[in-house]
Amino acid sequence: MNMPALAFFSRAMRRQVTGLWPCLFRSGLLAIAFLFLLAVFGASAGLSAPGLTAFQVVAFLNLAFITLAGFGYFATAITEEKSEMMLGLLKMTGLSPVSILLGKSTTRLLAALIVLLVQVPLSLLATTLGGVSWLQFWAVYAALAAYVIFLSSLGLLCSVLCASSTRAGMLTFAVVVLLFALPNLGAGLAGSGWLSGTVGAGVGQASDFLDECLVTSRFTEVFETGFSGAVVGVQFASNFLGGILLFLAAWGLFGLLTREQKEAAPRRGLLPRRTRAVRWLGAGRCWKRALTWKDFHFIAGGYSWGVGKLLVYAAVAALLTFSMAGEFEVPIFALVLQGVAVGGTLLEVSAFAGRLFNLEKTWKTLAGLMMLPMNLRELFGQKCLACLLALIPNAALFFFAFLLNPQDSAAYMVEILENPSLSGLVAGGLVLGTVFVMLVATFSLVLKHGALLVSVGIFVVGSCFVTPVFGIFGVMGGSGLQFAVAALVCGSVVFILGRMMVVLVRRAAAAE
Amino acid sequence: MAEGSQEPGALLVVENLHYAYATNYALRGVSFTVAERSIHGFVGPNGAGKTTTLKILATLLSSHHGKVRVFGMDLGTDCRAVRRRLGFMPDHFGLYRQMSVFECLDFFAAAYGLDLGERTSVIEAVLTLTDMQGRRDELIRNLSRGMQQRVSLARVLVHDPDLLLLDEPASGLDPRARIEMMEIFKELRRMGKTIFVSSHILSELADLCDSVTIIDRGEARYSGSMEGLQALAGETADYVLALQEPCPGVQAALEGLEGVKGVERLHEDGAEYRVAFDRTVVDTNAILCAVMAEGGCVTSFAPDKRHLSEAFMELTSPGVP
Repeated sequence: MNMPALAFFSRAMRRQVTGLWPCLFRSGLLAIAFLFLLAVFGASAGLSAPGLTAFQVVAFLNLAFITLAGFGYFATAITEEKSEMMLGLLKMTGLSPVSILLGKSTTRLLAALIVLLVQVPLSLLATTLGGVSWLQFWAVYAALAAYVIFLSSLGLLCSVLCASSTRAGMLTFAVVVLLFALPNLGAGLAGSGWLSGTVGAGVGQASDFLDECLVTSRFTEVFETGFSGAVVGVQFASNFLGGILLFLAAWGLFGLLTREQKEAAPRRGLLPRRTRAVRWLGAGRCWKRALTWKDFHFIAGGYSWGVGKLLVYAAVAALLTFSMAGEFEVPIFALVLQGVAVGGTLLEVSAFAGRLFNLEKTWKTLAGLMMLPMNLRELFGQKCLACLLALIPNAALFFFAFLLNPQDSAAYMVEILENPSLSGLVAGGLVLGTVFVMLVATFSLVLKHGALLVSVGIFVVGSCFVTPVFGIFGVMGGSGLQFAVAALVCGSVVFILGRMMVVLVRRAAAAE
Repeated sequence: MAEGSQEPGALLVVENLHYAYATNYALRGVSFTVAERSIHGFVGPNGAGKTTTLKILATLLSSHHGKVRVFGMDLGTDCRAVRRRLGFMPDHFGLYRQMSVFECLDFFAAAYGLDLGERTSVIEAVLTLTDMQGRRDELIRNLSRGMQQRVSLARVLVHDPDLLLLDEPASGLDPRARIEMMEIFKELRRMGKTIFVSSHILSELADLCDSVTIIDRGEARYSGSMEGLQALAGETADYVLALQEPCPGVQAALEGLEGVKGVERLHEDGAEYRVAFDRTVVDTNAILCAVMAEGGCVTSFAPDKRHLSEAFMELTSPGVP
């Protein structure tokens, strides 16, 4: 192998073939697909097109995993070299920017494409169950492949633009959310009558085109009964072309943005220093619960993010209201705002869990924490308290929304409280949410990136095995015994994860 | 095996300490004692087991075999009480670099249970000691390595520990920062702290330490006073003689003395000599008398600090462990 540009490629291929984690990840995804196929096969008697149902589940599962990979895997292509101060050394080896970019992005792209490829034989089983044609089969995989290419290049560009993996992941997330929301927003704007005829029509057409470019729209089209279109459509062409353009943009900006190599250091984020005019939003003096103070301000964002997210969540809720209703209606806004507050809480808690110990490990501060005169239970407790404090604005938004539309909100609350299935669902959701958060926190101690992705995978597989958990909590009319079994299962999982975290934290601290 | 034995007033006693990473033994029966209010050097080649020992002492590694007593308490059973009186400065600083100097010190002081008033005064004191008052509002990430080292030391001092464990405190520092750091350690000793310092920079340890442990391949090759190291060289003693001004007859006079093995002039135009002599034949008084008889005005006559390096080379094995 004399070509330096191929060095990354061959190394990545070797890692993909021999590495434990890539193999585990592929096996995990394969297991999930297999479980769903089995589930559909079991219930095939009651389904009109079991093959199509199974294939739809597998397709959307792949879509979810690829999208998550975009935030945690594709977006770290260059930032991981930046954080390890390796980019300068890579340049010194004589590798051109395009070689570095190709080397770094194709390895990740290849890994994702291999994940898709290994499923093909299994997914073909869906065609034998009936309801899905060969054309549909290949059209879905072509759409997924193009989406992977697009997302890989988007992640690469964000990775070139941002200094840290976290920022690159967040930027990728923001762009993806925007891309999926834009068609609806555009359509809402065009239909609102706020824009003049030509502009309104232009916005409408652009929205329709954007909608056609979305992989979800392509899936809807392909999964229609009697689909007879081409294997590749507008979505494939646009995603593929978009991927190339984004790669070219990353190439163009690479030299400019990586000219100076800065030592990787933790970011302060929005937190102002005490010498700044807005110091009242700063961290101030440390609280008695020192760890809570530290994590609230330096991991969860502190007062600044607390104020910021009030505005961000309200704006997102307003945009969603507008795109759904075509105009701003307070009762709808209130309900949407409640949804945004709950969704935001889930995202924030997941992100916090992923950063809780990962940042301490990355910046080698765990040993200092472990030497504090407190046991690990106190340490975990103070960290969790920081997360809860950071969620106060979310709760405030939720109740503000409640006050905006008290009748409908109260009606939903009463329905949840009176309906045992719904209240069981909420209780089960909280318990399973705890399990999920602990999974993320545990994997963040093992993996450098992608803890969220792996946790989602394990959580989905785990949920398949413990489907009775939902029943136990009353979703499926569960009994007291079922509830006890579910509580035992979840309690055991939480206990085991807790012990694992203790061992991993101690090991990480000793390894610093 | 270590030569040092338990001394009265010992603050740290390590006996027969073993530790293994899986099947690879990092420590094989290490024993040493550190006296109260002293500076103890911990020296060894890379991979000798220095950091492992420090991590065990810092309560970060627990599954060890052997006895470790700090302040008379067992490290295994009184871990929390020991931590309150212990300060550990790792070689990578372990600072929250997104914080300002003040925020970082305030955090660690609060984590050790100091109240608001105490914290303010303690932070002022440690900032003064480390000469960082002018940098209190700067972000740690923006400070130079030397400055970060000082902040790291200040962090270790906020809870007023009795024993400081310092892992390579001078690594990566420029000569000025290194000397200044050594002066801070001396000041800390004057304040009654006990310092256990691991380092590769032998010349500075020789100046700084009261006692030393030399470790190689998981075994303590020597543990005891700095003077004791001289004995390792056998009957030959190496001293450095400094005169106020060059005195031509001194070298010849010394070379003529029975028992003197060699006299080396350290600088061509200077007045410093290294004198090697057999202590069983001639003593320091005889040498000084001979110098003064030649009209030499002695400004200092002290053991050569090189002996730590020489002992290190003698006691440790070449090659990678």
